[in-house]
Amino acid sequence: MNNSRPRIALRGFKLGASGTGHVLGELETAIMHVFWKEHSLTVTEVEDKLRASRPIAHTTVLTTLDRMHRKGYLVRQKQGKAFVYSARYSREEFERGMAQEILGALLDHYTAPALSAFVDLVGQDERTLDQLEAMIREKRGKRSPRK
Amino acid sequence: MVAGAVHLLTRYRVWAPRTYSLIRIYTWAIALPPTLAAWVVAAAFLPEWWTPEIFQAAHGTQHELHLLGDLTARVEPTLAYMMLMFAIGAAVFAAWSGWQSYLRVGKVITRLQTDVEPAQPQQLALLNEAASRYGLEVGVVPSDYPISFVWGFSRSKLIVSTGLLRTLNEQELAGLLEHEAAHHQRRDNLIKLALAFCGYSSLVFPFTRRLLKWRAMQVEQLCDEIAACRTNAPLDIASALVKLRRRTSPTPLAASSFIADDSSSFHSRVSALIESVDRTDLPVIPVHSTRMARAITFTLIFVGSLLVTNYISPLGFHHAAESLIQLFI
Repeated sequence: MNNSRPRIALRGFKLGASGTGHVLGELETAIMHVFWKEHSLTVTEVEDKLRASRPIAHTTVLTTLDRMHRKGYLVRQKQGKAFVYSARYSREEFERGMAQEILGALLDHYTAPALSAFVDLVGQDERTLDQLEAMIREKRGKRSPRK
Repeated sequence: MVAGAVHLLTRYRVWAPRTYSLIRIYTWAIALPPTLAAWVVAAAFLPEWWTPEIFQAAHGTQHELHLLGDLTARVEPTLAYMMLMFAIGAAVFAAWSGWQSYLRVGKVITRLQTDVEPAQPQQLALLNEAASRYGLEVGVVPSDYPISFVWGFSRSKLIVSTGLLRTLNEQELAGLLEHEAAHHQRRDNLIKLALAFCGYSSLVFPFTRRLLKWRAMQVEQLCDEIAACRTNAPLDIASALVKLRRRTSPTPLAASSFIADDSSSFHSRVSALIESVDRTDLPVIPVHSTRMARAITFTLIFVGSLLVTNYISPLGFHHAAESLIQLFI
């Protein structure tokens, strides 16, 4: 969907929730689930989908979609008079981004005393990773040429 | 300064000490200054309580409450109590932040659950087998994101995610488990907490933070070496590191010296593992170290030297501290 890493805001992180509900409200979560099933929808179409499970006002859907667009969770394009919304990140990308933000905050770059992590969460050049992987393959090849 | 010089020498490969030695140097650099300060203060205070007759005979009653000398007589009790409060405050802050960190990790991890496929039974079996071998509790987080860490101070728990189990093959997972088991056996989190206290009570706090970071990097490398030694498969551990790094950071983040430093440490970890394949003399690293014996020895030396010093020269350090203060005031 989108190649950039999702920046998930951890402000208002809800401990009691699960999955995407940690950072999204209940209605926002429902809307994201709608967009992860259907690619592009207008406000009315989203409203119809939501009405299958709950009564909801048109203006509530309109303002929530607009807010989620401003937060960067949705993208929109104008088609005629209406906006067509779609999810900016796939569900996997969103959940991975959320986990990365949370763990990044927890690990506090090596100095958090309560845990020892196997891999820290700072960035690494893809090319460097490719080079390291090639070095490992080469070494494996030298060690056992039959493999 | 010594630790800083050592770091530079090793970073630019002028000197290549063993990882274990580097950890010791950094540990001493963090722990020694506050320990020495505590010793000097204790040695200067001790005669007042242990040999009050000698103390009063030397100073007279007027000096009863004073620690450092006549010139600081007015502020001495306040100064001494401030120092004491500072040390207690640092200890409380270290304990509080450690406890908060522990609770925060627990709360977030237990709820960091997403709808993902369950882990493969053979991988869970491998996980349970390694955990029972080392007396570790295991928590599997149903999350697509690859997570692995040892959490807690005395009774550590190994936390892994289903995403991690799916990312690694069996050999790589075995290497990772040995790495985490090494952390557990070395009681690394507990030592980090103790060193964090030393860091907080140090007057050069920003520098001790940096020292803690350098030490943590070396500890990771040492646990890699231990795992490589036990599994005899350093390339699998290197491969696990690269795979996990690739999945945890899909795009490079903004460059800064701090991040660049960490990136180079990751590179050196993987390179060290790759290079270790050619080494025929892989060192057997003691994990079941005599930490308790060392702690007892250290305490005995600390208390014993205080008592002996006070016995041989009851007011020696007291007068030395007074003279030193008078030099500066």
